[in-house]
Order: sequence, then structure tokens, then C-alpha cells
Amino acid sequence: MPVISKIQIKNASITKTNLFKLLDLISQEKFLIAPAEGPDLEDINFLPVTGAEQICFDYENTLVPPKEYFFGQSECMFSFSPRSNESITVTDQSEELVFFGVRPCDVKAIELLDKFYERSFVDDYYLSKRACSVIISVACSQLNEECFCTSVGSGPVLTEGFDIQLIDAGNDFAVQVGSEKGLQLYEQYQDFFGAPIDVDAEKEFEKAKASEPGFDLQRVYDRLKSNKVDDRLWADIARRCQSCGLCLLLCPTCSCYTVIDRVTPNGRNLRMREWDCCYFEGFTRMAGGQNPVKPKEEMIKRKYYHKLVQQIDEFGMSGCTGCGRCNTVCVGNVNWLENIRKIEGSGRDV
Amino acid sequence: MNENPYKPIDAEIIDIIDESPTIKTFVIVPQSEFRFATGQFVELTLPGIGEAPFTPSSSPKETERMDISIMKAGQVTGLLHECGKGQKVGIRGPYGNGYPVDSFVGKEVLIVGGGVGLAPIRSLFLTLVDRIKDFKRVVCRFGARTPEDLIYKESLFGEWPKIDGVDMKLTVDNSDDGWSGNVGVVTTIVKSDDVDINNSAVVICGPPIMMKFATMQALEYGFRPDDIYLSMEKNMSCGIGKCGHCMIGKYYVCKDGPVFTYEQIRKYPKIWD
Repeated sequence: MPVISKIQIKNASITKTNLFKLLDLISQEKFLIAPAEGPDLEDINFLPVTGAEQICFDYENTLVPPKEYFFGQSECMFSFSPRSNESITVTDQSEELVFFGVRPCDVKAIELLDKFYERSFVDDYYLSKRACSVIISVACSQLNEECFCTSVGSGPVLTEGFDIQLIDAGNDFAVQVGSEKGLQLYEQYQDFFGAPIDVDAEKEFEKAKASEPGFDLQRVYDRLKSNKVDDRLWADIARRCQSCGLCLLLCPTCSCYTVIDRVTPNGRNLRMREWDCCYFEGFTRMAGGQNPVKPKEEMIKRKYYHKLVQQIDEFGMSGCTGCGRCNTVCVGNVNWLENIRKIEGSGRDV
Repeated sequence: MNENPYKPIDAEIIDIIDESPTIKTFVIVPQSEFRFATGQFVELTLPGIGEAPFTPSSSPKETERMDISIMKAGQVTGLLHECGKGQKVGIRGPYGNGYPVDSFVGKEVLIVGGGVGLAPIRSLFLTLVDRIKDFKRVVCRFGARTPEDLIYKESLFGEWPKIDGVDMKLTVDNSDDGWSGNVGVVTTIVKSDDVDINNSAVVICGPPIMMKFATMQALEYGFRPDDIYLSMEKNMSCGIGKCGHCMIGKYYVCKDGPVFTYEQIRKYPKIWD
């Protein structure tokens, strides 16, 4: 069963005062995950909130994408005794999680992960968590410095693939309900919503596109696929990349992991899966030391190819949703967007 | 297949055969019936240590027990080598596509193998000789670094070369006093007239450098790239096309391989590294 059953979009509206009240009620009645400041850090992240006053409404995007709620950084799949493999599956989370404030780029990223985990072999660890989540996303009304959703077709306003989407319209939000799960939530709290209001999503998109240092995705795809990128670009990235993996760990679509065992103090074996990064040298290294993805240029190239060619071929959507997180966190000042633009321009005189 | 693809079933090591200074064959008995096609791989769990991918070396016809030949190379394999009979292990799978044996029918099959690469090849060989009349000939060209490093010695020097329809030659890179056979890398015993190039398939499995030169040689002899079958084992971790470790271009080796024709992967750089 697909995790999102699309419906014909239903329009409504909600005043900002009512939205606050609604989120407050949801936070009492259900588990609400929303952008909030952590207790020790000023970073805004998706955190469980127990009252609407804890929610940060004035944010560009969270530092960490919401994927960790469905695909944990370190997740125990099952445990077994040291003497046999008789295993106990770790209970899947089954309580409903309501997300508020997910940006369109991250909703798109979740859509990609859904497709990835739904294709064979079907991954129940991810899908069971997705099945009991509902997302209220908030369209972007301005483009931030590092992001470029319009170039990869993932924002600033979604046209489909969301549960509930809010679009800022001054004192109100225009509300769009786009899935069965969204409709259920909407109907449960119907009293908070008002009549549809007009928003010109297309105008928002054009406005955003004009201000964005974008690129032509098709051209980037063609360049990468036909291997026409200047090798000096890969050499330059390889020189600056420190293989810290931060760009991949914070990428909303990265889904690589490793399967390993950990032992608890009382001797039970835990079969874990933990996030892994293709920029780690050991990622492709085999027992005995052979590494098929060497030198580092190949490692770098592989990431660009995977996100901007392979995933487009396999899922019909870009593996990069333009959130720009990787650009802001790189310690080696490797700028993904800038490099994509160089790939786009390679073959021309630049 | 298990309901949860990550969950191994119980198995027990009932016998261990020393094949070479670095390779042992573990005979394991899964708790319940475990079927695989030749060339598919399994993930073998050593409880509390972890798991690693291996291609069984026994015939798929044997469903009660399975042989897995393992070279001591890393953490899991190193500790497996220290295990004794009776050790509990876990097994999940099988994964991947295996060798397309049916497409070899009516043809000559040239098998070029080296070192621990003979492990999957043994399974293929046993599968082929089981229905040897379906193939024109099975031509084996096997090598190892030294005579000591040749695995399955008993079969290689015993019954296998005597099977009707099998033509077998062996070589070692370096000889010792007791070796009277060919000395040289495996490509030195593969000749252009070993098989009818227009009606045969080549299967190559061994260390990457050997696979590279054996493939180049096969191309030079005139084999078509889609008649050359390569076992592209990589660092498979999940086994089910998710974790990302084994990707070559658009392929997940674990799910789309591990057996590829040269035609499928020739355009990707660094496939031999």
C-alpha cells in the first residue's frame, strides 16, 4: 500500500491565530513534531513539542532534515541471543506522528525516499513509520540564500504529493489538502478551518525562480550522463573535500547505511543499521583492502551521478531537492550548487 | 525468503575443510530448507560480530547443507576462521541473479577462475556437470598463486578432469618443487581455440586484476561482450538494493548482479579496481 494516497486537492484556509490554536491542540492530543529551538543549541530542528508556544514559526529551514524520524541515524532492527539467531524484532513505532512546518524541498525528499523504500525489496522499517505519519507542510514565501528548489522542481510551492500544504497569504494561510491522511486530519479538526482563499502559486514560483541562481537540470543530466564534465572539476572537489560526510548526513534524500552488530552489556546482540556515507573511504572498501571506488575523484563523481542521473532515471525525480543544506555545512567550502552550475557550463567556454 | 529480509535463520557449522593456508570451506546446515540458484550470494552472520556476503560453493541441488569457502580477509572472515564445528551462525538470502545456466544450453562454457574465485565457480561447475549433456563442453582454466593456494585440490586432481565433456587445465603463478604443471598467470593457459568463440559463453571469476586481463583476452579472441559473464562481487551489506555500498553506475550489484555481462558494465570506469 502506498504511504500517500493522493486525492483531488481540497482547498480551505486558516487564520494564523487559529493555526496556533490548532497546533496547540494537536500537541496535546497527538505527537507533534515541529521546528523548534533545541534546549542547548540555537539551531532550529524538528523536535517533539508539547505546546504551540514551543514552535518556531520564523525559520528558513531546519538544520537537520526530517528523514531521521523515518530512517533513524542508528536503528536497531532486531536483537538476538549470543547462542542463536533467534531474534526479536524491535517493535515498530505505531503511534501517529504529526509533522508541522516541513518545507516543500523536504516533502519532495520524503517522496523520493518513499519511492526508494517501496521498490523491491520493500523496507518495512521505513514504511511502517511513514504509514503513521501525517505532514503539514509550509510553502516558502521567499527563497533563502543557499537553496534552489525551482531548478529541481521541488518548490517553493508544491503542486502535489503533500498531505496538507499551507501557503502564506498575510493574515491567513491558504490550505490545500492533498492526500487521504491529510483529509482525515483536516476533517478531525475541521472547525479551525475557513473558506478557500485565493493564492497565486504560479506567481510565487515565477518570483522565486527569477531570484534564484538556478540551472537547467536537463542540461546537467545530459552533461553527467555523457561524461562530458571537465576532469579538473572533480579534481578540485576531491582536493577540498575532507570526507567528513556532513553534506550526506544532512542531505534529506541520502539513504545509505551499513548493517552492523553491536553487543549490549548483558550480552544481547543488536543488529543495527546506521547511516553511512559514500564519501567515507571505507564505504566501498572490501575485506582485504580492495576499493573499487578510488581515487577520490570517482567517489565525488559517483555522488553527483547518483543524485542527478541515476535517481532521475529510476524514480523520475531529482535526487537533489535543492534544500541547500550541504552548501552551508561544508568545512572545505565545496559548494554543491556552484559545482552543478559548473557541470552545466562544462563543454562551453566558461 | 524470510518475511523480514534482514533476519537470518539459524544454521550450524558441521564441518570445516582446510583448502589452503588462507581459505577454509565451512559446511553449514540451515535450520530450515534454504534454496539458492548457482551464483547467488548469501549473508552469513557470526552472532555479535556481524555479517558478510559469500557465494555458496556447493550445488544448489543440495538443499540440506551448503558449502561456503571463505578466505580470511577481514573481521568477520578472520573470526570465522577461528570457529570450530558446532558453531551457530545465521544465514539470509539468497540474493542477486546468479549464473544464467539455461542460456548456456547447447554452447561450450569456458570457465576462467583464480584463487578464491573458484568458490562460486565450484557451484557453477557442479550445476553444469549435473546436466553435462546439455552443453557442448565445459572448459575450465583455473589458477592460483602457488600449488598450495589451489583450493578443492582433491576434486581438481581427482574426479573433475575425468568427467566426460569436461576439459580442465590448471596453472600457478609460482611453482614449487612438486609442481609439474603450467607456470604462469591463468591467461597463459586460455587459448583462442579452446572453444568455438561463436557458440560459447565465458564465465570469469577471480581477483580483479585477473578478471581484467581474462576479459581483455576474451575480447581479443573475439568473444562478444554479452557472452562474457563476470562476477562483480563488491562490498554488499544489506543485500537488497538499499544500503548503497555496492553500486556500479546505475546497478546495485546485490540486486542486479552479482553476475553481469561485460556489455552491461563496460562503460563504467574503474570496474576492475
